[in-house]
Amino acid sequence: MKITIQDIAPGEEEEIIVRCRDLDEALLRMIHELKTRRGKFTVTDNDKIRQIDAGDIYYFEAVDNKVFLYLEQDVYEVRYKLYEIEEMYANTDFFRASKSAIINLAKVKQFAPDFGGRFEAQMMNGERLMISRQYVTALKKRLGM
Amino acid sequence: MREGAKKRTVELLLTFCMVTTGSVFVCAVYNKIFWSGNTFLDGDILWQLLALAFVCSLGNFFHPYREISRRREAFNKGLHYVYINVVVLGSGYWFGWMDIENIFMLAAMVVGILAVFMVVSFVIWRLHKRESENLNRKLSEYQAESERRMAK
Repeated sequence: MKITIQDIAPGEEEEIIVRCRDLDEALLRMIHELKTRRGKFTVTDNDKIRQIDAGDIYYFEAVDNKVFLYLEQDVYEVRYKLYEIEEMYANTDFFRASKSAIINLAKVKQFAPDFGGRFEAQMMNGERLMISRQYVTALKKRLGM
Repeated sequence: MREGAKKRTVELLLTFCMVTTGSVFVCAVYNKIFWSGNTFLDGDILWQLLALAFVCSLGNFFHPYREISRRREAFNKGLHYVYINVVVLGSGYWFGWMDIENIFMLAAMVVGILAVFMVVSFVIWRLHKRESENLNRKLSEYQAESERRMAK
């Protein structure tokens, strides 16, 4: 498959054109992933492999050298380091909020002021996560402030 | 200048301005109560207040930029308050603003410190709250834009 990347003028909308003979299932899946800017995350659940839509993930958290993935209610251990997840999901809705957590901005209900110049992210499932002062500037940048 | 250092400097200047205002106010009240009719105020008091406000503002460094636990943050806040009390009461004694044996003078000074500390903390909290409101506004826009992009 040939991939062509073209420069566009500032302000012009980014566009991906797919030129193909047939829209097969693989291509449709790729288009869906491009549209949602998400991928699948593979976790093991009692020796079973499960694929999780990245859009369903609320946050990742590192606890005692282990990294966990949090859905609305379920929690899975993942075999990646936080920095690897950060790289995998760069330029998506995922945001490094502290040394130990990466949150999905699409799942944040609201931000609230916290002790000592920090913020707290209140997630849509009711959980609360701290946003360290070090990452507040990056958060503002990400949200276009 | 690094982003963190820049933010720290702005916070330091803001705290300095607020503490200076608070100190002048407390000084005016204190002077009216305890030193009325005397020649307590001379030119030096202005420099002393500015120096005091600056040294008190340095207490901001009790709150490190790096990530610490909530418990540690609460402990640092307490330490910050003790530091300010030591600085102000020490200055009061050193510069002769108060008679150390006069319990009312001492109590008034402690109340003054508490009042300024609470007002400054409240103003900082209000600024922080406003910042979080702006973040929430931008978050809504971000999420709406994200939804729009996916629906396209």
